[in-house]
Amino acid sequence: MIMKISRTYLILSVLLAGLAFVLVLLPKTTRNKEIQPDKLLIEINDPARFVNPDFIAERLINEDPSLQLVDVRTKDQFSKFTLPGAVNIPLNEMSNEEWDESLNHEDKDVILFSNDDLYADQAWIISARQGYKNIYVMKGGLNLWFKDILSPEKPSETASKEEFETYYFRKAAAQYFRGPSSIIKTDIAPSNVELKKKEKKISAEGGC
Amino acid sequence: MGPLIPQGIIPGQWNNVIAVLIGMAFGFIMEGSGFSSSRKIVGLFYGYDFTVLKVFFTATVTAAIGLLYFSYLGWIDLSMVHIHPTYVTGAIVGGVVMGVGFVTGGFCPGTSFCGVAIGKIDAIIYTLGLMAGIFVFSEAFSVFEKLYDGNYLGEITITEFFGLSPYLFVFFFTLAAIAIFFITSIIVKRVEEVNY
Repeated sequence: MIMKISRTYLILSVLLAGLAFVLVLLPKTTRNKEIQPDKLLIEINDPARFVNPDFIAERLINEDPSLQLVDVRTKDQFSKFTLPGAVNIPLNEMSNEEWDESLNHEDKDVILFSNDDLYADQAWIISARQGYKNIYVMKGGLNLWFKDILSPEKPSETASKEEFETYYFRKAAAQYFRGPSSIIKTDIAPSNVELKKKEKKISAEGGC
Repeated sequence: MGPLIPQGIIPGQWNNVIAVLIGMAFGFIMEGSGFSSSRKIVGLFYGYDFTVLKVFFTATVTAAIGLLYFSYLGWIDLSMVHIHPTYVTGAIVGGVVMGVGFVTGGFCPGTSFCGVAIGKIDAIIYTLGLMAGIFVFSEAFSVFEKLYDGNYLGEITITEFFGLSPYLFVFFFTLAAIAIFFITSIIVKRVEEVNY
């Protein structure tokens, strides 16, 4: 049986099949979810990703729930010392997908740190290329943390008010992070004098 | 650059406005192609009119080819396009229920509203039934919940599930569509002419 097929349908059918066939022939490209090079360059040049240890200390003391610290040093170093609440993602495992849960936060600030800020910054580039948002780097790393927060230097007498305020904050932060042992160390021997409590006078309760 | 709304090129607040505009255009074209007639729609099941099949197949093939070209040219990021999640059990049971309703009532949900818009009494009754069905389902959801959530596969596409190349799949799908258009036109010629 010979059927008459309308010209329009024939042309449309050939066109569709042709377009679909060209798709098969097209060279295949893989698109990564990495961000574009020009965009990355702009972000790399933007120093806004660096945050001061003071800022982190303040948020840690306030127990800010939107803060996620990430230690990018090795497991060994992490087990010896780290900051409170930090998770360990070694730099060489940074691109692993299993860490997605720790890095992919819309509503949290993820702060990377290492001994200095060099490794943390490398980790930042890896995570930025993976398209994560709200990722920051702790400026100066743990070295600066020790210097500024845990053993702050007293500013000179002529320093500005702000410098003194920062110093007092750091002093207080040092006590917070080092624990009670660091608070007072004096050479005075404890006295043997027994303290007697004064008996309280019972005052008349109530009033007018 | 696309998809336009997830990329923030069009603000998300426009979502509903655009949906209404597309919906109006969709309804207008459905009515224009005669989809508000239940006789035309059920012709698919009796073999005298395959317009519904042809329209939906053409739409699918055009969209699939277009999306792959757009993705190839970098105009759209397919990983950001919404993929409707797959619930196998729900899809099968729902498909059967919908199919039975389709052939007995002569409308699918979209076309029934088209029929209501032009004042068809059967479409109005059909829509009332549809509303009643939605009400019963919603009220008794706890009974159906297991069925509804059964065999959840996530947001998966057929090519991902079977590990096929999307390009080859679309090519063979297009060939199949053209073959089906050809075969159905033979069937229509052989079936006794129906006046509707």
